[in-house]
Amino acid sequence: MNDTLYSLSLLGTHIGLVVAGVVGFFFGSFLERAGFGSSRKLTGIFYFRDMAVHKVMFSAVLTAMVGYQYFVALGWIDPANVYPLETYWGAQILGGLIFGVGFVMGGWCPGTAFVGLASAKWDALVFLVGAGAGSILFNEIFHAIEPLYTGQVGGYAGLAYLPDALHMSPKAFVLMLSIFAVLSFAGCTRLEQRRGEMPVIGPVMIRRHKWAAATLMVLVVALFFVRSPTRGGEGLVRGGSGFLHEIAMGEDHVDPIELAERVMAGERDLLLVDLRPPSDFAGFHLPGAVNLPFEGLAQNLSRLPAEGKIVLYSNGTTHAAQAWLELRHRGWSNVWVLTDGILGFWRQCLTPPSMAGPADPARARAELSAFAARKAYFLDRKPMPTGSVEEKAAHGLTGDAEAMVEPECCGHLVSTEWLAFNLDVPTVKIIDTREDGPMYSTSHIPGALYLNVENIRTTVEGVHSMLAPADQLAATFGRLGIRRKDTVVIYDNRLRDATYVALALERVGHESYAVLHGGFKKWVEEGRAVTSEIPKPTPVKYKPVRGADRFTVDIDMVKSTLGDGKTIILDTRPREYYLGEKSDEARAGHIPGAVNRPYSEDLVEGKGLWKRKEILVEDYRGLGIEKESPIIVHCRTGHQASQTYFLLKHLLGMRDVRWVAGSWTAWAARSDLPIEK
Amino acid sequence: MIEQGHEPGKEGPAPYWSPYLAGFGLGLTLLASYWLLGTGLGASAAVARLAAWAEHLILPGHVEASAYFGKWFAPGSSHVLKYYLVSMGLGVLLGGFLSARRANRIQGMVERGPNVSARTRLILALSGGLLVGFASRLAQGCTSGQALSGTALLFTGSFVFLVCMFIGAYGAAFFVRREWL
Repeated sequence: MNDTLYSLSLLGTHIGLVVAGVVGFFFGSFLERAGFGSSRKLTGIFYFRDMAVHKVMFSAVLTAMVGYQYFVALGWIDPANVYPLETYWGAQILGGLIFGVGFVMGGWCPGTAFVGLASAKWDALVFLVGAGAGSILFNEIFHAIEPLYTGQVGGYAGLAYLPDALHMSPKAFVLMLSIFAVLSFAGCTRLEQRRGEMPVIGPVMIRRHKWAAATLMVLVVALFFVRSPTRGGEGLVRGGSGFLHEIAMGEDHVDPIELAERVMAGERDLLLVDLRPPSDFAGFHLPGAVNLPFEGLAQNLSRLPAEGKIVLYSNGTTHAAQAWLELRHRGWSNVWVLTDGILGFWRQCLTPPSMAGPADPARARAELSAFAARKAYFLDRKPMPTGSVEEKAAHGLTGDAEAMVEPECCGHLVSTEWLAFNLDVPTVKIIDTREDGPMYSTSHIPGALYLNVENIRTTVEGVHSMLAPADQLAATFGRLGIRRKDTVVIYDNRLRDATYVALALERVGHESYAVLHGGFKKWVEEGRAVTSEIPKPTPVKYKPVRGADRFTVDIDMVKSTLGDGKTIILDTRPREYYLGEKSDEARAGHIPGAVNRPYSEDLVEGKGLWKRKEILVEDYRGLGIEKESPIIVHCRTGHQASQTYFLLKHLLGMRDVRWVAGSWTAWAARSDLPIEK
Repeated sequence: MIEQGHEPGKEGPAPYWSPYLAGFGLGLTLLASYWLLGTGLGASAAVARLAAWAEHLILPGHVEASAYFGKWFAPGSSHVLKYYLVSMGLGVLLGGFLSARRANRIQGMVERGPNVSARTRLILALSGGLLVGFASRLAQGCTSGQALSGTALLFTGSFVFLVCMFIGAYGAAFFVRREWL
């Protein structure tokens, strides 16, 4: 698979400039040979007199299209190394329409105008001056067009391919287009003969091109039979019919009920391996299970112990059986497969027995109580503890008695160990949001994408530093190649940047995200892998979930809660700002009745770690905040408050926490709103 | 009328290539561009960069602070004209020039239909250029970058651009027919 100058970031270097220049040379030569140094020839198509534009363009597109399909199929081009053109509906529809009008008026498009200029057509020079002026005009009124340009208005579909939209394979689409092209060529020639004033120069009759047309068709059809040498092939399973027999006989299976009992009995040497994607794992997994997605299993086998019992499970049994085979081949004899996978477990262990309906009341009671015990064990305990391949005891505490305990599960806080274990999983995406961008360039967690907090802020209705609207955030995440079902792990060094990005993910309705416990500092202290290699994400279309943001309140809503006797307004700014001794805003002070709890007091000083949960719960209780209290958090811009919000909602489990958009900046700017000092 | 000119004592212009052959060559050029550069062909970006460069000569502070051109002048970025598509534009000029010279097609003129004055033609060229320059920025590409390069890779937006371009052009063709016919 060859790299491209684009993928190597070499387009701007001397080699990039030289290669682009050579490509341009041939581009210009062929345009000129086609007759595109003449505006009258170019515009002939718009009056059905000279269809050269159609013929040349369509031949060129087909040549490149078919060639590209071959290159990809043969592994000579990796689409990931090609600069993608995203789809912006409104911008491209309007842009296309305006462009078309300009084309027929001016008689040129930019590329042909260069050729026209080279042929001393002065109208081409004037056209190019106009095009330059049009570019300047665009720049001057960019602020007005920006929403259309970025797809906020008019729509944005990210990286979209037409065959997908038509529910066709790319090859079928190319075939269809080729047939259409050949027919249209014949039609165009007929049109020219009937209406054209211009002399038809060169061979144009279809029969003179029958061999070219036939070759095209053969090549396009043959495309269906080209198999990539680099794809397919290497699976996990390499033979082993004896084992297959064993598996078919169910000798190395464990029944869900039996497994549930063993797990509940706390059997010590039992290791559960969840082979499903991290997003599934995050949704539900058996307590103590390790997530080792099937896709990356081969690289992680060395982490499985040779002692004890290993139980593999996936959603069904296919992946588990394949993994079982692989492990047996490599010498593990202590591997079992969960019968019917997690779905079977759910059906047999966690579905209320009343649905099955046994007749005998005594038996029914016994089954019901067994079910209740299982349900209490597997479903109602939150957070679910997760095991690790290494001894759990080795990472019980962070070593700091004051700090929050190492996260046990993959809720909204994950441990460095979990991340290290899932580093190669393609659906785990990592965001580095350390405030100091250059630090990222020198060293970051492998695969981490950089996102500065400033990139997700914008000015909304005159209030600066607001968290960007969902569409804009979604576009940003899409550009980072993040998909809706990915598990996103965010890290920084001081928590509030990571929680701010988490807030952005919550706004677009992203389901699976987490902050890295201890951040980059802990990662490095533990001697884990870092790199300076910058990943190259393939942009995707990210569609926000409408109405996902149920946590944002504006200042008018805050005002309406004043004096309702229930809602607690929590001001997370430093004390001197709360007291009005310091201010960066129009007015100093705080919202009447607001309670002050500086965000920094939730942290162990200088560690980038939250304090122990018990301490925090006690502290907040002291402020009158309980699990059910309606709470509204704010700071100056919403950044610091995002940390408190994340803590209260996702870590301490408060049920009704909301966050103020604009925060004090917005409140202070509105002179009609009351202030207290 | 047609001024693919004969000059006394000189040979007339060479015939154009078959459109299919020229298209085939163009297609191979595009494929090579994807293979080597990892990007398609482009022409409007060179125009925009030249325009930004020219505006910057006159109003440096204004351009640096502007939202769209500004990033090309950000500290640490290379010179606005040191860009692969500017280089490609120069290549197009050179390739077009050498090809036109060999084919004996270089002849200074304002190309237009028989029923329009050179002045009107130039005004229309300027206005058409203005629209094209603006639209290319908006759509992030022109006939080269979107209609040719993008469709070859089957991008939806490029097909949308191509279709809308023809709709726009055919819609306006009637009104400027005297310019060409």
